[in-house]
Amino acid sequence: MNQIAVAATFSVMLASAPTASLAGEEATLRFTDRTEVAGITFHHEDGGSGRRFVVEIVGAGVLVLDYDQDGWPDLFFVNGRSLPGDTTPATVGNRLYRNRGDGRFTDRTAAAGLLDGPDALRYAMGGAAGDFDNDGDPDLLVTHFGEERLYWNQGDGTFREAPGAAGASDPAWTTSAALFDADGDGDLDVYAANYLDYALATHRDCVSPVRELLAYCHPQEYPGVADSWFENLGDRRFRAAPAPGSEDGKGLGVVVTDLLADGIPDVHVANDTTPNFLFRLERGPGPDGAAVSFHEDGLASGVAYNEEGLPEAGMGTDWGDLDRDGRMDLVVTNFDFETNTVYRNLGGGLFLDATASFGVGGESLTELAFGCDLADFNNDGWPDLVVSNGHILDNIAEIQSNLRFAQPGQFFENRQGTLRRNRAAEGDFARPRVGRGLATLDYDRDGDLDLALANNRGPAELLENHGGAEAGRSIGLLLIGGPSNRDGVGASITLEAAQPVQREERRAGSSYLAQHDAVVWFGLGTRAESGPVGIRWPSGRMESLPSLPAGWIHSIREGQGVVGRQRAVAGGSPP
Amino acid sequence: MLLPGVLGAAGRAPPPTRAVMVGQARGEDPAALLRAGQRWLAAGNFENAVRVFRRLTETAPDARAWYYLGVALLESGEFADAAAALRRAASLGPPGGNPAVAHSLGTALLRGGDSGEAVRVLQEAATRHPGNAPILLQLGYAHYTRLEGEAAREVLGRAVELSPDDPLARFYLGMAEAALGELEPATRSFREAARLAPDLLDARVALARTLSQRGLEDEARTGYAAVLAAEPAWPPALVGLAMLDLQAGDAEAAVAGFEAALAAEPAQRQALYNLAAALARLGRLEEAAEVRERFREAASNAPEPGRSLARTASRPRR
Repeated sequence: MNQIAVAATFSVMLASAPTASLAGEEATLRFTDRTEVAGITFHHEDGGSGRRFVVEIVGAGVLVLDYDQDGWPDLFFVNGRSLPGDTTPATVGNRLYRNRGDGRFTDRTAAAGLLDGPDALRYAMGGAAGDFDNDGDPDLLVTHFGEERLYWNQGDGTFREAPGAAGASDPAWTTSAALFDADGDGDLDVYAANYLDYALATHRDCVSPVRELLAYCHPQEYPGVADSWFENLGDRRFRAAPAPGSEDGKGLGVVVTDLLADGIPDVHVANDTTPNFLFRLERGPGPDGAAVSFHEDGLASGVAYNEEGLPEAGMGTDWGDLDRDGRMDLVVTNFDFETNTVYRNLGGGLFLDATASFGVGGESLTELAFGCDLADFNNDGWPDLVVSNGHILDNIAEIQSNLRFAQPGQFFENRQGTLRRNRAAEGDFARPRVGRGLATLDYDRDGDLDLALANNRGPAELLENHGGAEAGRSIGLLLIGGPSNRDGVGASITLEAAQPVQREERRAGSSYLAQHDAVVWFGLGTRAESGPVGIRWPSGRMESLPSLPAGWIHSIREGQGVVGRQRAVAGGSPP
Repeated sequence: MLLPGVLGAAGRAPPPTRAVMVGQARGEDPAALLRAGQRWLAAGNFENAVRVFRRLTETAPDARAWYYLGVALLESGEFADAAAALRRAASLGPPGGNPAVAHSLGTALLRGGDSGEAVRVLQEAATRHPGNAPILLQLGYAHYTRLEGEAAREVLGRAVELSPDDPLARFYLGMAEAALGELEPATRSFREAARLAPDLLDARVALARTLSQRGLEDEARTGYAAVLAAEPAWPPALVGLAMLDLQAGDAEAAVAGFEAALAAEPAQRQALYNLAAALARLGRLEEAAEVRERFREAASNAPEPGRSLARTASRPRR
């Protein structure tokens, strides 16, 4: 019998994980919607009029920052605005919600000086918050379909916009951004992922193959554009330059970690339909006088493609030590009929697509995934995976009857190195939404990680992790650097007593158009204390701390150890 | 892929003589032309079959003539012309439609890249002929190529019910199940397809790969090894086994497997990509760099547009 010419497009669809049976799952936690009671009313505006400008489908973003430094993480939701043809007059712009510490939030956008009048509104994407000027409070960088905007935190609950974003800007369509100390000079620089060379003026209509339905264009219809890096000059000014080697990328997600444990960060960029990047940085003046050189190494390291040697539609990305071998593994969220791809870190700068053995593939095939986080939601010491899903085509059901525009979020529980979907734990996260940005935080300081979701053309959501703290104990670490950057971004933290050793990092970037809470989280399981804590600061300082009690967020100042703490335990009381 | 059954009984006759093939003009005996065309078809000379059937459509332009011309064009790879001829056949056929014509028309549309129209035609035929397993099989396959996993599974499930001993129905049902992440049912389907047709190596490779994805690596290894015992240079099995070796940390064995696959198929993308990774793991960095260059070339020569139908098939409006 002649062999069958199986379409190449399907060979990958042999997926990994058997469909989980709800009846067989044990729910140690459950995500519960608290949006309404929290008083969050943000609604993303895509600005669409039916013309299907590509920019409409990319937002929305969400950032976690404690802008008023009261110990309670606040939320900043990033919005679009009207586009040509959109006759909807109301445009609310970005919104800042202050966490009151009692489960409720207050809209402080105007009071904080972040409210734009109708004429000042621009089409925003995501961004990042960090202490650019090392003055003790987080500043705000908002990425745009166009020039960025930078807001200096005045330290009194208000922000002031920096003209021209103080140089931290480019005219390209920027999506995600990561703040980290690239050049090792003690302040936060920015890697800005740029997407397409697309402008409304060059928009073209695209149609789907089914009934000639108008559809958003494939990214291949537009060239990619180089990413940017904004070097912090240390005097509230930045110098913008293209990231060498990123010219052909179509970046949507970016995450930074120190892969080789050499104290120098490495940057991963999830590109949409083009190979992903892995930049190894080299410090010292380069030939162009820049303080740092970028060396793109995605193909050689094994993270540019999936195991079949195919580029995927990278959206979100994150690092995490999934198998607790002391090395950071990598996840990239992708399009439907692609898996969310998990790369195992083999050491020596090499990765291997291990999606199947990690157990993620099958469950992710029919979802189009964006925001994500590798974090320990059930406090058992193993990082789990959460993914926010939603299609890019509002008419996808007319094109492929088994797909939907709004899709459920997914929670993959880490069972000692293998990820298994736990539907029972998903709770309200399983409700369909057009998911995009996802950020994690312990907003109620009850000792487990909750979710903030920014959804395309829909309401934002706040999902409380109900039961995570009861399932296991935890500690949070809030790092205060100096001479390292004040946020301690890039610090590597090890719980040496844990078996296997637990390693985390004060990460930069991650997810999609989002930023997680600054607190570094460790699940301890049944342990009442962390055991000795080792910290390698970005400055190179190695610091050892005695065992820390569970149930607290410990503030640790570089070289001084614990300088403060805040209760974070189920049933706990405010500090 | 052209599924069995399209050609009916035409495949057993010997090729016609030269005299018949070059028969002179109108007024020829339609029955002789039909027989001649059928013989060319059976002999695999589709160019001559097309010529003869074209003359048949001029001599006796009935549904049968257009059908056979369509089939010959389909076999020649002239899908648009095949579809046009088969539509003519359908228009001249019985009111309820001829399932063979619909089947071939669906195949021509599918192979011509119009999978949406193929589904429509085959769906209509399946409604008219619900007990026709080949139609269901082709419809299921059409859904499958459109990444419509649930529809493919449902239709192919019906095909299997009607024709439980058809290995292709089992095979494609397994592929649809695998596409939906349902690996245990897929394993059963592939296993059954391989049992029904032991020489259907794609089913055996798919079975091994599914076992591998389920973490049953020993069984997967056995499966790949069995395929290679039957066909030692079969690239999908070589790559599958080498991938298992690479995941297990045996980079030496992986290198050997990928190189064997590349000897049979020099531009095999997955083998090139992972050979470079395996060489790097062994510290053979210069060789890895050289293989990466070969990979880059293979990738640039065969760009992969992505897998989502909705996205990849979108195009600028004319």
